[in-house]
Amino acid sequence: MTGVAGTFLLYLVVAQGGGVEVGALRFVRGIVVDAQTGGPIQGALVTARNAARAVTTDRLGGFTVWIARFPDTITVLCIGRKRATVPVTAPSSDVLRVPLEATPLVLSDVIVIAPANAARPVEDVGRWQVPMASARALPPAVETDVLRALALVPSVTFSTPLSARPVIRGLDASQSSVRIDGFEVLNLYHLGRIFSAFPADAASQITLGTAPPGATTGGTLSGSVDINGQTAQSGHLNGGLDLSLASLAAWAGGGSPSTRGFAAFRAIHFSVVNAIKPGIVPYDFQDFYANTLFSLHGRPAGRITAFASRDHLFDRDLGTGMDWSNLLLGGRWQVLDDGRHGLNLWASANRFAEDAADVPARDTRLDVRNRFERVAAGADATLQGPAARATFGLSAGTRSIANRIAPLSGVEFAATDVDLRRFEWSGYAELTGALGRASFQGGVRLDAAGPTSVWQPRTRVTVPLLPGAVLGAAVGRTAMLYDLVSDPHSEPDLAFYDFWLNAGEGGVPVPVVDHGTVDLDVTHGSLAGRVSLFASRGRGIVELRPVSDQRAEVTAPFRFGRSRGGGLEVQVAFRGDSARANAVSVSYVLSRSQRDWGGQWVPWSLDRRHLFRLDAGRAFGKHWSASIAFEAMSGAPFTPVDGVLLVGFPDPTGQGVRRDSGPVRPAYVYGEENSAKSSGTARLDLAARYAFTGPGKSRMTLGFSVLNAGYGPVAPLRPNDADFDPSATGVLQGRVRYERMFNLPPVPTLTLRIEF
Amino acid sequence: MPVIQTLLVAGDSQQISWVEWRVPSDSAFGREVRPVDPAVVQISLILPNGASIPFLPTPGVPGRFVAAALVVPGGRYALRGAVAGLTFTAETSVPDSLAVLVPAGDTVDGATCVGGSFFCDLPYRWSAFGAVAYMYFQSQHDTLQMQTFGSMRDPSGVMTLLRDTGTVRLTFLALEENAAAFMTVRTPKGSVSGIFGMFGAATRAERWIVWP
Repeated sequence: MTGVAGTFLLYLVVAQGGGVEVGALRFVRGIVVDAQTGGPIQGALVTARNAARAVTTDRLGGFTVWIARFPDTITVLCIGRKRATVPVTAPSSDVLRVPLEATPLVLSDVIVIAPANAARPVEDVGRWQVPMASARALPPAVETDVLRALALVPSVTFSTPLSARPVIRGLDASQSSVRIDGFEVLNLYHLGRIFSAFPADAASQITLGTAPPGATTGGTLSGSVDINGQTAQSGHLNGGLDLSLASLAAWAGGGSPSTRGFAAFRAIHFSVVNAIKPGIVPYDFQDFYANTLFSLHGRPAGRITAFASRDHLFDRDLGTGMDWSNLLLGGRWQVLDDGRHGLNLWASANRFAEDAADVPARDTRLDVRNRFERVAAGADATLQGPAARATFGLSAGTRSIANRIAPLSGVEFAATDVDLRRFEWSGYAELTGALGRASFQGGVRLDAAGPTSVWQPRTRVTVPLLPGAVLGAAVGRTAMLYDLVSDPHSEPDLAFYDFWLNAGEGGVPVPVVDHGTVDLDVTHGSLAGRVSLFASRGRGIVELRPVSDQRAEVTAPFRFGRSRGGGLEVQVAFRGDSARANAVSVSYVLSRSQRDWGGQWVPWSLDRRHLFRLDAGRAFGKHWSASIAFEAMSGAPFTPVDGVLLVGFPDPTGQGVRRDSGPVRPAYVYGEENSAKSSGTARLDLAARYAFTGPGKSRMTLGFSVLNAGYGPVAPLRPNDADFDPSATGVLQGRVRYERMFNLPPVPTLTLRIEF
Repeated sequence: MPVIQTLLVAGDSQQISWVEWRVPSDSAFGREVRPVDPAVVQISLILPNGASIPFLPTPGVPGRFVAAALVVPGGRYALRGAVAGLTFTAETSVPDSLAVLVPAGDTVDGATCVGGSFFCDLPYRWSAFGAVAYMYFQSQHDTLQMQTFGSMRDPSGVMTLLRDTGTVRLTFLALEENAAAFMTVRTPKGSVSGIFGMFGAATRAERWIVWP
């Protein structure tokens, strides 16, 4: 009875406005769409100027804003798009349609634009939006990549230029969540995780949400990357082609105002001498994305998303190679949205499969067979009133994990054969409202799988300080109910391997991280800036035991421990306009990330104390534009060699170990974990583009870029191999030397993009 | 810093321990032993019944220490002592006897080793409770020259041998955890508290292979 009564009371507070001048407040409903395609724009900032209220658009571009006095003016801002202003003279039951045009040069437009005279919506705390136009302005490596484009966000680092895995604020990439149109996918990577598996031409925007997210988001410890797919224009067929030295991508879309479809396909084939590892690398992949958007009464009402990718490296039939694939099918439908009540239903199924034969894993070689399948469905409900908005959600599904590791040589990895199936469900409740000039949001989320469940309370608040300056803060807990364990430093090997563990079973703890973050956003004219302070503390964190851990009593390949980290991010951007078509973004990050594996706090292996980035773009006339990206980071920690020992071999005739004669093997004895630091890394990427009109009014862009044009050191140090010629007595090896994990020569890229 | 390497082998009446200095990371190194002065080395083997047997330096072989003790399969042993003022302790359990099921006979016909011209594969299957890894060595019985060796975790599979002529010795070792973690991986794991090193144990079996 208490629960029913409580829910009813909440309904009164939310839907009836808690008795606060309900009659005086009216809501205005609307949708924000792309002016060119008509597709919905998620995450746009909608502000009612006189009412001093701001909201962000939902996944289907919809918004509801409450206004006390008419007339008012609605302003819509979105990263990478021109501002739109719509006067609202009187209350209306009609749905306001706001088209937004793209701005021409948007390299630095990744900082959230602060609303004027209103509190920032709480959803914006710790969130960055990267329009694909911004991503394209970055000098590409082979081609534009949706995950590598996150280099525009100061919260994200990558272990080296050979990794597309986003490390968010000092937590491993496997502890974040990657979604396509809001649906979770696993291991969205091609070729040793150097590229993402999502075709850039199919994306419209990438949103990075740092932790803690709202209660609506689960399944992540560090944050989430949400890739929004393109929406087709209605009316006529449109499409394009993107060609690089190694890849070909094509996309097309069209349909009616009520049903429109978009599809993109990409294929790549490498059979070239690899710049990093000597030898021929036969490799190819294909990926595919498609969506269908359904609209009712001129409003987007539902969307179906499909994604598939497959990779083929070397040839398993010939003894060594890898094949992996990803599948996703998801659908979302807005059953109800009358301004006060909303109901969304969704369902998704995704599958990741990985088969590897004789792949390198540290000093051993493995056969791997991994399967991850998840089928889930859920509902999200919203009650909206003038004073607050309540959101509830429930989802249920099954998750199936199969993880088989068969070592072919060596004894470093034990054979693993896990086949787990779990029923999982989650629920959340969240209340969002205004308190004076501030906006607040409080919610709680429960994730459960099998016998394990975790409550995750989360709170966010934003307060406008001055015109153009907004303070935001968030605290909350995140958790994951399974662990995806991979080598944090798999480069430069092209092959990779993963282990999956069910959290809460078999001695595997449930990873839980508590976060706190504060953002100060400032906009003034063409300048936009964000200063963020963040801190986190976690437990139940799992990692693959490093080679340098030389304690024999611990034989398990994994280790569990705690994490802590924190830092400061500063980003300042200058945004040009059509008259001054240039843009500059400068960011600096001071951060620290540590782990405690049962002894003492030690630096995390991917911790980078200082990070500096400069991204700039400029247009030269109507046709030419150029951009540069510079990144410098302080060195990553590594474990130094304390000494060298000569390992003896057993004497076949029975004398224990033989050291004075027979073969010996030099081996390192490592010092304190991560107590040394690599020297810093730096790289400069350059790009130039020439845009022109092609046949049939098509738009063409010819691009040339160079990755690591400065040919600087881009990888951390590691000790060279402990080895000497055992057959030649007296041959000495000099002192232990440290070498870069790899050297990356300048990588040129030539691209041709055709849109029609 | 000193390093100790002690592998107890069941059935042997003498147990060997090597104690030497590790090479500083900024020094050149070769294969030579950098022995620790025996005057600062005290090592004792603690038998399952609690008796303590000292390891004594081998005259003329710097770094080598010998304890006169017969180690038995399944027994639990400890190592105690001090090197250059650093006290240390370690424990190990000797695996059970290594029962070689394949190849079954004492003498193996080289024709059963199948494969290429230089190397061939010989099936094996064995068991030893308490063992986590296995090593094999192919060596000339007269010169003790080691020809090939390998390590594996599976108690069944194939081992790779070098095709030869005449009769050669095949030695198999069943290793417990400490020995496996030190001798069968590229970066050895230490099992001695106080200083870095190995205190492991093994049981041994032999076959003779007669090449056609």
